[in-house]
Amino acid sequence: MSSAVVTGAAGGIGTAICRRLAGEGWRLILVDLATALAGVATELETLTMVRPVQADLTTEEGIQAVRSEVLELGGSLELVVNNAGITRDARLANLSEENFTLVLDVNLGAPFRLVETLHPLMDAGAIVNISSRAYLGNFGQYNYSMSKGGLVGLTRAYALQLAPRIRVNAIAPGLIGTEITKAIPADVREKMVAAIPMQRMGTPEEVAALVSYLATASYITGEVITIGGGRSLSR
Amino acid sequence: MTKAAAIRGESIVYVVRSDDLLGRDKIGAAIVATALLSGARTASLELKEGAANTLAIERDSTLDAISTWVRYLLGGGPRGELVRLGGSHLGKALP
Repeated sequence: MSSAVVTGAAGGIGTAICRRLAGEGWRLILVDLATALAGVATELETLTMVRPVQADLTTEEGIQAVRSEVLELGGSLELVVNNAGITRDARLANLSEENFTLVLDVNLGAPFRLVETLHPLMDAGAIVNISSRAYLGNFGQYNYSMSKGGLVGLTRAYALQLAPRIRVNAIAPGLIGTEITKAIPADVREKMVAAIPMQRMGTPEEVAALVSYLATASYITGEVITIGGGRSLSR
Repeated sequence: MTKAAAIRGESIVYVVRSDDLLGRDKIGAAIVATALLSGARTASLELKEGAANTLAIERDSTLDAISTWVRYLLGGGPRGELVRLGGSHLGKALP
């Protein structure tokens, strides 16, 4: 049985990805900094073999904790999903150096360190990086946009370097219905949804389905797939 | 520097290598190039005065061509745009 590492496993999209992969029989190493990870692991234990790793991936200790779990679980590591991410929004003129660095370290530095550490353990398989539609530009998110744009470059460079052994792709979700988006004031959220040609937010399950597809899409590598209901076209 | 320019209402041009936008060389270089492109797009959404753009160059791009295009892009008009000198990107992925 193949194993997969999923970061940000306790978040809305991350949990949906884990549920989808668990249902497909993947053995899972769930990684998150949040204590809510334990609940996700308990839920999924009924479906598959699960190893939760509560770790800070901006540290070498955190990265090595994931590596150790992969080795201990055994079997073949065939999928890494870099999903963990944070936001610290501010207009560029007001953006602090601390929040600029923090977002880049979590959203971009951690995936780089994780891939560097884990790809030597993979004989074959796929890496899926969860970028964001914000890589095309998003007001008030200079740091986040740069981090997600950087993931696109990381995706392309690794796709070329690791082919044909490992395929590397990115997903750029638009507005997805999670606890985070529920916290957006209703009137603001309605305006955001009105600008989406599909007239609704996406669901975490729709992103998870795309991750699942890319995990086994044997001739796709180096691509960025936007899942945003057409928002990258509309005004 | 970008923040300072944004506060002063000045235009910004990031100069990157075309090869790096497509991840053809080192991982770190690819990360920086594509991050800056995204940064230019977001900065252009926020700047009331000035604009941010990206100029992608190739190994054989001349200093004359580079400086000419930097001047053009600082002069107003395009916002959040990518201009690529040379043709190594043709037939390849859009950035």
